[in-house]
Amino acid sequence: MLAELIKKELQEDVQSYRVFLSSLIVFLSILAFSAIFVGHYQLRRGYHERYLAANNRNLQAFAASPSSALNDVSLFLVMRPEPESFLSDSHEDDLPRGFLYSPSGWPFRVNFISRAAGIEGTANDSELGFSPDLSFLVQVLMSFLAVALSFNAVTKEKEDGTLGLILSYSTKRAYFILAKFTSILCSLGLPLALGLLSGYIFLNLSGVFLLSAEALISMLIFFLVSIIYIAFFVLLGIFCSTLYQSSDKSLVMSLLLWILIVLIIPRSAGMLSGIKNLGLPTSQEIKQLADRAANETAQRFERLLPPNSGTDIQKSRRLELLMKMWHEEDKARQDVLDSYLQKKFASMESIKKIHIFSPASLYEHSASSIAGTGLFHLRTLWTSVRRYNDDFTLFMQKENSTLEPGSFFYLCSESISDEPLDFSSLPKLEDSGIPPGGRLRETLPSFSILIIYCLFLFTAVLFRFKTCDIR
Amino acid sequence: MIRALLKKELLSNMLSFKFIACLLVAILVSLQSTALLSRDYLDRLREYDKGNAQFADELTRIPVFSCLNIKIFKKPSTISIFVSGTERESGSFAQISLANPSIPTSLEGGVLKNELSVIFPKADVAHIIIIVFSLLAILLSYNSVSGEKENGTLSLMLSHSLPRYKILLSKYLGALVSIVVALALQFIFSTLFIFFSKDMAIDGTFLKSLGLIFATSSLYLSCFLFLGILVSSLTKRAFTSLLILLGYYILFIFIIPAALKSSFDDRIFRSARSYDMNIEKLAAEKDRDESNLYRDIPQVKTWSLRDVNNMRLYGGLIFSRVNPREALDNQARMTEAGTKLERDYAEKIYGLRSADMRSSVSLRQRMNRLLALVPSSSYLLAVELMSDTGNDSMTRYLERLHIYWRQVMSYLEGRNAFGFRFFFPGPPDLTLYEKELVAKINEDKAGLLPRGRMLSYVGKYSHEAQNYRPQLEHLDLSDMPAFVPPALKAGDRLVIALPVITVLLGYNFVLFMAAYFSLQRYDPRRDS
Repeated sequence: MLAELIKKELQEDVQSYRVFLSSLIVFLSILAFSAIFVGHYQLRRGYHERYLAANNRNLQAFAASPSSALNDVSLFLVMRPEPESFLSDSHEDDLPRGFLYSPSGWPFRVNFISRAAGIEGTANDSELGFSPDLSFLVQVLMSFLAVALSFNAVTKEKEDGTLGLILSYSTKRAYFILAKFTSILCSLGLPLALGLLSGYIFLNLSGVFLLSAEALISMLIFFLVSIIYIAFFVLLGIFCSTLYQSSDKSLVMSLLLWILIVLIIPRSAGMLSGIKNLGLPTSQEIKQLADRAANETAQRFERLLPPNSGTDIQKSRRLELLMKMWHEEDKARQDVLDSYLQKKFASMESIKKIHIFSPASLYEHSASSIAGTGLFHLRTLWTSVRRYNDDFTLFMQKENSTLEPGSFFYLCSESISDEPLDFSSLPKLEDSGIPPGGRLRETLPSFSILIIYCLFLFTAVLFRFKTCDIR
Repeated sequence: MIRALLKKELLSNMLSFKFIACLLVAILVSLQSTALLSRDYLDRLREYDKGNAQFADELTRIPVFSCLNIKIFKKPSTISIFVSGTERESGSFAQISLANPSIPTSLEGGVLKNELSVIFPKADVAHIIIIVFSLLAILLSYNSVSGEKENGTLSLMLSHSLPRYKILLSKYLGALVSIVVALALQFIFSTLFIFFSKDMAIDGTFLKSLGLIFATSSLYLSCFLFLGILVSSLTKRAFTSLLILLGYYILFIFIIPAALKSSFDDRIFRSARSYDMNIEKLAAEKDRDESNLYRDIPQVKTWSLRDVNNMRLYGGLIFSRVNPREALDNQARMTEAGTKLERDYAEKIYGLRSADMRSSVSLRQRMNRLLALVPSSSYLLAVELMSDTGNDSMTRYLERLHIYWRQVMSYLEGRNAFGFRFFFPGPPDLTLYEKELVAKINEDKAGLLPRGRMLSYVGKYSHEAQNYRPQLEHLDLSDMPAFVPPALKAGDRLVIALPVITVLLGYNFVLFMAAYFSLQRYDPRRDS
């Protein structure tokens, strides 16, 4: 019985004007967005390669004469533009590019790299603030289409008087809802799948994607999450249509709910973020605070320092103390910076709590986690640059230290020799992206909340429809 | 007759479920947005007051051995609660530093205190009007003609000796009046909220700007009404007309502006790239010139007391008074020459940057011209121009900052206090203690080490000299010229926004004509 119902619904839908139109819009928009994406991606890739080339230049100069070049070395750990940002870019363009690492520890060991110079003054465009990627298309366009296709699922049958007829058969009411739901979901899911596939082929032809299993897997999971998200809005439309007698009222109600969920709540979160950040000092002030902390540490040590002139033993004792002082100074400065960075991340995380109220935000979060882009990407980079710092110091201590083994080692031009190093053996700093396991783990919480929302709504629809009296 | 029709339309609109639901949502959402944004505004205002007071206080007592950082705070405008434009994101203050003279080309602070918060989009009243009220306009007009066609009442109405334009006008005016009433209610509630909240002052400029924004919003919504009437007179069924209008809504409000913006972002990005290359060349040129400059200055054989750690103290730079006169004179000559160089390069870099900005502004103008084809974008542009919170106002502000930078530089030049020269005007004579210390250092020949162009002292007394904190004298610079931000009157703003408003008016006219003709050509016999 269920199969027959679904077949009937599908046949009706496939022949209908609006399903044809919406599939066409979805398909064409995905193609248009992939065309825009290719140009954008290549541009970003070019920028990234410039950073990598600068890193190589710096490291080569350092390998040639480690001790004298140490203070001039600074390495860029920038976010590598992922091909997956086609799925979800999550404003990676607007975020800081990554981190600047200076092995000599001055002025900071690790610090933000702001957006590309020159764009800063013009970055604040007044438009609606979306980045056109697939997750935006699904989040706004497809959810809207889902509502537009489902708002009269039940009311139309009520208005036509066919509902009573259908229910007079020995059909379970749940089957009726299930058939409607499945057919609408199919008529939206098919164009999305087709669009994704053709976008994938298009990108491959223009040389953006490598045909990797990873990319395919993340695309599949993206599709799954998108389908669940669309299902939520289909259910929302059906729910509204079970609530009211007329299609008009159901349309208005479901559109208003759509606006609230997709447009208003995520935006209010944005404004809250502005307010939450007001307690933070500016980057200039943070630098001053860090300098003050470092100076206080230095002053504590200054008293202990023996004079520079004297015997060799005194000199080496002085150097050791100096290195300890620099280490502490460096640590104090970096701690201040780190604590504010953590606060910045934490304030973003706390806003995500509001996001639980909007499936649209949950969807955006899960999509960006699957693609491994946005804040998630930046946070992962932070840990990898920390690890690199340890690797680099350890390597220098082993290979090039002028100090006696076992003594305190701090990486500075006094503690390493100027003998050339083998460039190929130096640890390199490069963003390797986020492994699929990590992405999946990040996605799961918001994805499961999304599923719970869907199940809840589905039960609500069933309950409401079962108890309603068609007379 | 038209009055009766209008009354009927008004009543049926205002008592409908969709109208009341949309109105309630709009008012609730805009109240929430007003509450959030006015809190944000108050915070910014407090920061502005605090910063300004602090800086005015600093100006009266500047230690001579220090480096002046001039801070200019941008006053938040009350109207940014309604149309926030770029004001919240673009930062709250500019800094003119004398140690490293550069002309500010962007502001610091603001929401951008947290670089990560850029990932959240915003919703001010202007956005709520675009999102919620456009939808209301569509819902009010989609069945205005096609609904009557379906019910069969249109033929009945046309059978009366009633000119068709009157029908059109009554439909339009009925919808317009109800939507304007809703808009007015929303504005009144938000304004009342501001009026009754603490510390908030409503002045004449605010009310004038609010009036302008209200008028533009009505103009924009009237576009949508005409569009709705046009589509509904072209289609037979109300449902088809609704689908077409909703498709237009989602395409022209969300998808097309985003896609257009993204493709222009790429081009702005590309133009910025050439700036990057040029700035590297300029930096290399500066390094070369600097080394030439210092080579040309005659060297004086003397020593100086400098310590890298000590330079960082006092939050900036300190040049201890325990130095021989010749070293100071030498330093003064070097700074004088260096100062000119620094100023020239600041102007050159500014030239590059403003050329870059101009190219991105012209790109953005081209984008805006394209976006003007989309009513919602031209509306947003118009309200930003009228509330003086958008990109244009930011550009004006930065241009004024450039003029101010020159003013300040020549003022400080007059006080003989530009750049590093700040370190010199100390008490004219050395104190007894200082004289003794200098004499002791002069005797201790063992501690003089060649470093750079001069001998550096790191001997027995260096610890004592470095820990010596001279009594600081304070300068009073409270007569420094004050920054006058560009202020536009409501009339001027209207003139600037006029082209965009003309576009909206043109839309209204074209859509009205189209709706009129399509209704004129409508033949009821064909439907039956």
